[in-house]
Amino acid sequence: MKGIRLHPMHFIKYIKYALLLCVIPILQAILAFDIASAWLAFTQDLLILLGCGGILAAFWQSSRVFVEGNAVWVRWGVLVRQLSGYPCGQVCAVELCRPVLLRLVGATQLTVYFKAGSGLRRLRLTLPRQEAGRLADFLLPEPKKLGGFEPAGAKRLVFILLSANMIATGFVVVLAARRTISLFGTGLRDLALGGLLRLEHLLAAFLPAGLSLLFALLLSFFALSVLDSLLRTFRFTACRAGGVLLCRGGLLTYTERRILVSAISSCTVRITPAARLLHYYPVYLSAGCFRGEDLPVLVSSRRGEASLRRLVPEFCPPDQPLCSPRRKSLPQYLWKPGAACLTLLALWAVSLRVLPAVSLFLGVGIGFAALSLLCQLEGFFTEGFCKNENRSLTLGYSRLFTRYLVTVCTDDLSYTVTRLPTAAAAGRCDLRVHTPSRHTYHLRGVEFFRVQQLDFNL
Amino acid sequence: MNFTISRKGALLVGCWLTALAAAAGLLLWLLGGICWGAGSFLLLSAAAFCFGELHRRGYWVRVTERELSIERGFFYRVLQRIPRRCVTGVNCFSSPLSRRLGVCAVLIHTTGLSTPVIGLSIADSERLRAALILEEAGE
Repeated sequence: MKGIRLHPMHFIKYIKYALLLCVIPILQAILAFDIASAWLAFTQDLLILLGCGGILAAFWQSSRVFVEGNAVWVRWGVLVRQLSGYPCGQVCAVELCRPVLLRLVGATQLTVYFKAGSGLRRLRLTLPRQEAGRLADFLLPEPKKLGGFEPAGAKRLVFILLSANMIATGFVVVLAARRTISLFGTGLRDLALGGLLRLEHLLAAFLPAGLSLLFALLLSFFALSVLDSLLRTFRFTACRAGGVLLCRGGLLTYTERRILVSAISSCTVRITPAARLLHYYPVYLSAGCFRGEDLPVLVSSRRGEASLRRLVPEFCPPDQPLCSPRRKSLPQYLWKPGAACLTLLALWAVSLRVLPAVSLFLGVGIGFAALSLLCQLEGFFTEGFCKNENRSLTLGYSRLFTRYLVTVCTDDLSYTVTRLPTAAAAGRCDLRVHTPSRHTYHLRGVEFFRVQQLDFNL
Repeated sequence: MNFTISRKGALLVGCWLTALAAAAGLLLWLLGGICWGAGSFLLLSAAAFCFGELHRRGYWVRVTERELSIERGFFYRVLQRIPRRCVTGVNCFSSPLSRRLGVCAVLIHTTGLSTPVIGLSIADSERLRAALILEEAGE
């Protein structure tokens, strides 16, 4: 493969603040329909823009990516030159990402994830589109066979709903809104608050007073997370052939992931409250340093495990009970949601007499705490591990509202066992399983003698 | 191959914690007066040296043919089991005080986690490093 240059967008991080300094006054003037001011700002910032262009050109001209001796070499730098080599044999996953901004300039962001053991965990390069595809094909060839998992109809809707992450999207939206308001003034904030208040007035017709604002906020975040999921899973397909698992899709940000099947380290099924209602479960994969937590590879129904085994045969549902609750301590599981539930109940009882307007909010909180309590109670009976016939290790545990079933298929595991004196006397311990993806799975109250029998050679 | 923490290693941990106790004592001196500061410093220093001794008593490192096991803790027992092939690096750190005492801190990097071993003698840390890195590499 002949040498290629990195795309100038790779170096945009070095000049982004200078660029923002130039672009924001121009944008503000354009948003105010003041073309004269926009032109004036442009002419004033022209020198800075030219300087930025010069820096980009110097970086671009000195950069080089080439393949030599079964390793990818990256050379870049103007004053201080750097040549880095990455062995191709250590690659476990490749991700091609094309957000709108990069599509406009014909670039693709290529992220190469390495297997554990190497010092470097991932390498991110921005390359011209065709060159990025060629390098990705060299590292992990694209499977020719298509048609593994292509959600359509109701299954597509389920996939969108189960891929949506309300908490993460809400967090990102709030951060982005704060940044945008700080750059473009309070006009956008007023607009967003106006929309939220209109929704609140609409909901106030159906809901008791006080709850409408809370539900308006939750509904807004839910809508945004579903919209984000809809865009990310647009025309999503996953297939597996030639030792490579390929997932691709996305409307605004097109993402293509190629995962080396032999490097898959764990396969996680998340049983969320939404998944329980829909009877479909999202399946996530991690391989080496690739964590893959943001998007599931597929959703599988309990009946449709054949499709799951076809695409992810590594996943092994436990064929025996994961634990015996005989030795477990119930307070270890229930103290957090239980304490939250009791505190909220006490506050609710007080609020009924003192401040009735708040009692509805507290009632919602009690509902969430009770849900978490039930989930932890399930964890008390099901949290544990077992070794499978296919030499993998299945872990099951519960956190907050979700139950996780993890099949660990790598030998490179480390264990940490912790015991309080009371737990040691009862013959139980907490087990933490560390994987090469730097995931740590924490299992509570497992039998100590079973942990001692755990061998590394799966 | 077994390794334990020496008494000088416990002393090193005690000295480090005493430095923290001095900082806490200084803060309390500024906030509440010299009696509070001196009292808390003496109390925390005593606790620091007790902690160092407890740290030493419960600590052992064992290297077998396939496995590295580290057990520590006096009340709260922690056992780490790491396959030797997963060890990716060993770092040894020493300060002027630790060199004076002939001990050092070792940081063992593995594929899934990094774990410290504080208070090994310098000779033991060399043996541990050789066992984990050189023997595994076949040298």
